[in-house]
Amino acid sequence: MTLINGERRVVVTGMGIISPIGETLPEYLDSLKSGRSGITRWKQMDERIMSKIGGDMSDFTAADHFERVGKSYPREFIERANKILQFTPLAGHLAAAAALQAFLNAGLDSKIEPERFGHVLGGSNLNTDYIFRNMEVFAQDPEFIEPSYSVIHSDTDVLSKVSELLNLRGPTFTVGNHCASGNMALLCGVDLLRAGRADAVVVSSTAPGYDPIFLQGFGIINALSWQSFNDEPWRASRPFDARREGFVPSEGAAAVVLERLAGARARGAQIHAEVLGGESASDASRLTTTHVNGAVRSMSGALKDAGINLSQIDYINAHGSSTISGDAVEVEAIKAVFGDHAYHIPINSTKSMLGHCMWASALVEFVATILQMQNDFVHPTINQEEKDPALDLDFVPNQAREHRFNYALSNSFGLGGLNASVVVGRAP
Amino acid sequence: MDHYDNGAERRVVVTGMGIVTPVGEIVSEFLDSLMAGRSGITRWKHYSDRIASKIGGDMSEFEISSHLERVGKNYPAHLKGSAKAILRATPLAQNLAVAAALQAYIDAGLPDPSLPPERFGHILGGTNFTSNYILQNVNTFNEEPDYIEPLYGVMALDTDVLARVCDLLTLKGPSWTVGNACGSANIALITGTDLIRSHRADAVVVTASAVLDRLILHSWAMLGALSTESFNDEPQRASRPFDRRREGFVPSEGSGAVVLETLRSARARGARIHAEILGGASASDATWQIRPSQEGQLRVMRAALEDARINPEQVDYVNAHATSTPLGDPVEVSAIKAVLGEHAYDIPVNATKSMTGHPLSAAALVELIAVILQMENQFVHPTINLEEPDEGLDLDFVPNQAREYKTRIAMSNSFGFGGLNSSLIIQHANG
Repeated sequence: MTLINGERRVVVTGMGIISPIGETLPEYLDSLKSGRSGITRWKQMDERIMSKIGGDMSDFTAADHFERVGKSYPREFIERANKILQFTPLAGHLAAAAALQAFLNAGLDSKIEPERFGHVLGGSNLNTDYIFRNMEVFAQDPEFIEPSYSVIHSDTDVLSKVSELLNLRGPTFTVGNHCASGNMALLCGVDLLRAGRADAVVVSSTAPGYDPIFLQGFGIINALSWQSFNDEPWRASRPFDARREGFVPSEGAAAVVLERLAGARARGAQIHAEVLGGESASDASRLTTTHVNGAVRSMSGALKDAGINLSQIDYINAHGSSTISGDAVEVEAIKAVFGDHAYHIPINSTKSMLGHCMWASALVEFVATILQMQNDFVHPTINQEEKDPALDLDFVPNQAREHRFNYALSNSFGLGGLNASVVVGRAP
Repeated sequence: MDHYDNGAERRVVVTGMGIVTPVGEIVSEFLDSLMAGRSGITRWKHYSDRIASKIGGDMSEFEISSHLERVGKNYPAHLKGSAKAILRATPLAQNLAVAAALQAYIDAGLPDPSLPPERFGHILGGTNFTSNYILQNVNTFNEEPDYIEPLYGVMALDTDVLARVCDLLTLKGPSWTVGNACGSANIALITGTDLIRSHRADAVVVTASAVLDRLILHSWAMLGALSTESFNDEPQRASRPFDRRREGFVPSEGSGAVVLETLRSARARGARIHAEILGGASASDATWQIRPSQEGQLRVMRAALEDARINPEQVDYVNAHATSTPLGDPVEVSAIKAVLGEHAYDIPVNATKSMTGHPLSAAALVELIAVILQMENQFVHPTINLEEPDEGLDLDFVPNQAREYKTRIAMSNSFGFGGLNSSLIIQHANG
C-alpha cells in the first residue's frame, strides 16, 4: 500500500539541541557551517583512564543554560525546570533543556491535550556518572549514598522529569538501541502517531554523563580514540580518514516535536521537515563489529517504509563514527544499497565536529540534517587529510558547500548489531 | 509502506512462554507454585551484608548450564551449545533473559521456515539491568582501572542483554529495549503488539529481566519502600498485598518471555495458541515522584479497554499490580472500582506478587504468563498472606486458596515509579 494521507504523514514542528558546538539551533547551525570541532581534553575526568578527550558538557546545568539562552522563555517553565532538576545528574539536565527548546520551538501554546501528548526518550544507561559516584560512596559507607538514589539513578527518572516539565501525559517510555537509540526513538514516535496512540510526541535523546569506568570499558576494547590526538583533540574525530582510530565520546542531547501533518496544519504550526519513514534491523550478533547485511536492510527498509526510490535520496548523514571497521562497513553498505548513485550524492559525518553523542547521536544528527535541508547546504566532514583508498565517496571534505536536497537518509548503527535508519523530506 | 492495523488481519497471539523465577524455572513449575500458593521469598544469599534489606526473591546463583541440565533435556543441542557460548562470563541479567527467551522460543515450536529471521523482532523490557556487575567493576576500578573486566564496555550496557538474545535466536528484525520502570514489561508487550500491527514484524520475542544489587536494595530501604521490619524471620510472609500488615514491596529477581505472532501465522503453521493480546495502553502522570495516582491508573485501564474494544463488564479477572505497599494497593483498588463499577465486586482480583515478590521491570511479563496459565488451566491463584484485609480493600482478592474459575477476558495492570502506568487486555485462546 502506498496511500499517503494527512492522517498518516508525520512532521517535525519543533527542534532543540544541546551540544559542545551549540546550545541553541542558531549556534549549532553556525558550527555546522564553519566546521567547528567541539572536542577538548576532559575537564574533570579521572586521569588514570585511557580516554583523555571528548565533547565535555560535564559542567552544564539547565539553570546556567536558561540564564544564557532562555531570556524569552516563559518564566513558569524555567522555574519548574529548576525545581524538577534539583539533585538531578547531567543526563536529566541535557534532556530537559533540549526538550524544552523543542517544545517552545513548536509554538504549542497548549493546543494539544496533555493526555494525547506522548514522550519517547532514546537511550539506556543514562545516569552512569551518578551511579558511579554513589557506588564509590556505598563502598565506604552505605548510609551516605544520596537519599533519593533509588529514584534518580534509573533511566526512567530522566523520562519522568521531562514528562513532568512539559506535562506530557500520553504514552511515555525509554527506548534503548545502543548508538542507534535516537533513531529508534524517532521511529517509535512516528509509530505512536501512525497508530493513533498520541496526537503529538516529544522525542528526546541524551548521551549519558560519562564516568571513568564507562570510558575505560570502551578504551580497553579499543573502540575509542586514545592514542594519537590527545594533544590536538579537535583532530581526533576523523571519519573516513586513513588515520582514524576510534570514536570520540561526547556529551549532548537533542529533542524534536512530532505531529501528524493534518494536526500541524490545523494549528498553523511551522513545519521543519517531514519524517517519511524508517526501519530498524538487527544483525543478531552480540559482537562489537558492524555487519554490511544489517546496515543494508536498515537502509533499504527505511526507503521502503518511506515509499521513495533510492535515486530520490540526494544526501546521506552517515553514522560515520571514525572507527576503523565501522566506517568501512558503512561505505560498503551504502554502495550495496545505492550502487552508482552513491558516488553522486554528498555523504557527511556530523560526528567529525561533534564527536559521538552515543545514544543521542542519531537525534543530534537528525537535527543537523534538517538544518542543512532548511538552509540549502551540506556541512563538512572535518579532519579529512589522508584518503583511505577504499573510502571513495563524496564526504564533503573540510568545507561546507551549497547543496539543495529534497530527501535525506540518516543512519545509525550501534554495537551489538543494532541498526536504524530514517528518511527525512522537506516540509510539505 | 503498510498501515497500522488493529483489525482482524493483524490479531496478535501468544504462542510461546518462558519463565525464570524463584517459584519456578520453567512454566510447569511456575504453574504448580501458582496453584499451591507457594512463596519464593527467602533471606538474601549474597546481598544483605551491611544493608537494611534482608529478604527477597533471590536468583543470584542462577546459571545457564545447570538450568539447561535441569530443564533442557529435549532442547536442540545446537541451541544449548550456543546459549552456553553466548553467555560465557556474562552478568546475571543476560543469563536470566536468555534462559526465558529460549524457553519461549522452543515452546512456540521455533524455528519455523514460515517466520524468517528478518521478520522476527525482539523487544526487551527494562532498564539498568547490569547494576550488580557495574558495582563489582567499580570496586575493581577504584583499585586499578586496568583490572576491570576486559569486555566491560560491552557487557555493562542494557543493550548487551538485547543483543545476546537476538544472537542466540537469530532475531534480525526490529529490536530494542523499552524502559518504563515497573511497567516496562507491559510497555514491551504493547510495543511488540504494535510492531506486528504496523507490519514492521510478523513475530516478536518479548523479554524482560530483573536483577538486583546491594546499592539499589539499600536505597529503596532508605526510602521506606521495602518490607524491612516485621518479616525478616518469616520471609515467605512479607509480600502481602491488600493485607492490613503489608509494609512495602519485596523485590525479586527473575525473567519472563513470550513469543507474539499473528493469529493467521500461528494457525497456518499449526502452532499452539496460548492466548490473544487484545490490546493495551500506557500513559504518564507527568510526575517524576513516587506518588500513585488514581486518575492516571483509571485513565490507562480505560484506554486499554478501548484499544481492545472491550466493555468493562466483559472483564472477568484482574491481575493487579498490587505491590504490597501501604500507599499503592488502596489507590489501585479505588481505580479498579472506578473503572469497573459494581462489576469489580463480582470478579476475582489477585496479586501474583504475593508469591513471586516484585520482579520490577519483569513483573508484567511474569504476570502475563500467570494470567495465561490461569486461563488455560481454569483457575485463579491465591493472593497469599491475606490474613486480615485492610479497611476499604473489599474486593475478591482470592485469599490464600486457589480456586476453579474460567476466565475469558483478563486485565493486567502495571504501575511504575514516576507515574508510568500501563494496562494489558488478554483473551482466552478460544475467543
